[in-house]
Amino acid sequence: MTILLQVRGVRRAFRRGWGRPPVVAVAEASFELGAGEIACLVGADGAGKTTLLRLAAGLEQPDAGVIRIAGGPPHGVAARRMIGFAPREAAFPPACTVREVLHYLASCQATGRVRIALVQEALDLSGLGAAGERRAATLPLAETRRLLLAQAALGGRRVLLLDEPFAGLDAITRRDVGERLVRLAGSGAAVLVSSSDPVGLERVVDRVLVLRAGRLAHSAPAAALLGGRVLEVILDAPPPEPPPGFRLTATGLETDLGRGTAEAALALCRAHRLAVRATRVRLRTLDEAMLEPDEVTAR
Amino acid sequence: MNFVRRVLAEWPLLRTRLVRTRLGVWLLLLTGALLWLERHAPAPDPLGTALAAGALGAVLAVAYLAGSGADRMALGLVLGHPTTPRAVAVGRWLAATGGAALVVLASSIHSAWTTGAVAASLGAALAGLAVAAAIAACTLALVWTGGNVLAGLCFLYLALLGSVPPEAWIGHADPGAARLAVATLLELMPGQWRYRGVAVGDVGAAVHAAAWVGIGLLIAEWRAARLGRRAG
Repeated sequence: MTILLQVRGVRRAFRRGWGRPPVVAVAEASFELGAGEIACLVGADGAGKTTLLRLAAGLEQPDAGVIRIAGGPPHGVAARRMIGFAPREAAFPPACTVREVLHYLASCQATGRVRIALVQEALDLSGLGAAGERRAATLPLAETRRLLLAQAALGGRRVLLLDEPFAGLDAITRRDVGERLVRLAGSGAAVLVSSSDPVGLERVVDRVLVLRAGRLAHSAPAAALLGGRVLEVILDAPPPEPPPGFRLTATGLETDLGRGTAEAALALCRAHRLAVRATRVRLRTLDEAMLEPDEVTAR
Repeated sequence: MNFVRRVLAEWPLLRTRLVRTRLGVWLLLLTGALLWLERHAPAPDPLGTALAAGALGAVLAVAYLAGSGADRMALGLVLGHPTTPRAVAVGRWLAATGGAALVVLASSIHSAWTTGAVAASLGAALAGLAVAAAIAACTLALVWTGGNVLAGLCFLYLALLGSVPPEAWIGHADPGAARLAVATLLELMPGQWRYRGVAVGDVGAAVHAAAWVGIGLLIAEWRAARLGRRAG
């Protein structure tokens, strides 16, 4: 697999003024992303996700460390041809329609029929075909996110850096956008998305990077990080204190099974005289990975 | 070649803004107002009208093409594509100058039509284009520094004081260092009075305009890069 994005020991701090210590937004982040991979950068608001994406996009300079896009620096026009960046907040040139915005941006890369083809391709891959003549500034949130995706992917960019592309989207649009990202990755692009609310992205991502207060707490393939099983126990009456190893939920209890069995966990519930109504074993979710204790795994 | 393509990528914005924003209406009103003033002036001055058309048209065009908060924010998105701050600055400047040129041409054609002095009208058109180019570059640097508030101040300065040579009114101020500083500043700044000479082949006036185009574009490029990084 060709490595398209390389981040090695990257650190970025922001000064806050005289006499105040700088805020470390990203500390010693290292990871790689290959062609066809989708990585999700998860973390709470203020964890450093946007800064890391901006560093990778060449919009910020790291204080230390190295960032490589297909072996080259992330700055300059050549890198711009490789990197597609979608910011969280949309700001399109005023008074332009969706198609005009894409034509305007495509003009930086091509002219004539090639440009028209690039725009049509971007409209198709983002699902914006029907909204081409609408004003970009007045689009609803879902279409705005699609336009941000379209402009980032315009011209066959190989590294897509998308800041919160799912923020505020309904479940149907989330799934649709996720499927479109999978298709983009299938065409050989490396996709790095950030999310502070990664519900439902488990089916999309190949790799999970968990940022906590600027530090990369987890970096692992999704299959490894989300492979753990969780036992959910629905109770008639949740106890005031959970049994050892269990957590209280809205409907009862849950526990990470680890290497144990569901039967052993249920036996513990019975030993605590809890009336079990139903049980379910499921895989861990991305939000649970966000809350895990720190552990950075290979690559 | 790539640079030219990136510069020309900015050009379609002029058509969009002329048609879909109030820029077209304002330029029409400006043209109408200038022609009405010329017609009713005790001593008609087609050159002054062309210069005012270029200067004021340039400010309006820059305000609508680059000065709004949304336009400034959108620089982050634009500079995420294979273009450069220089290409964006030059492209917007060209588009704004083009918008102002429409007003200059309208006023020059009107004066040639009414006076029959084609050569003088051609000179006036050249001077109008020179002032439009210089003012557009300076206003671009201003709006990418402080937004359309500065474009408004620039418009007022040019509308009220820009056509009067500084020696005509600075002499009323007290003599001293402050007077000298203000006089020097006004001598250096672009204004319609400064470019009257372009109409009769004054090289100094043309060089002054070219210098302000260069300075304005350099500052605009620097500001575009900063805004792009901040907004991206």
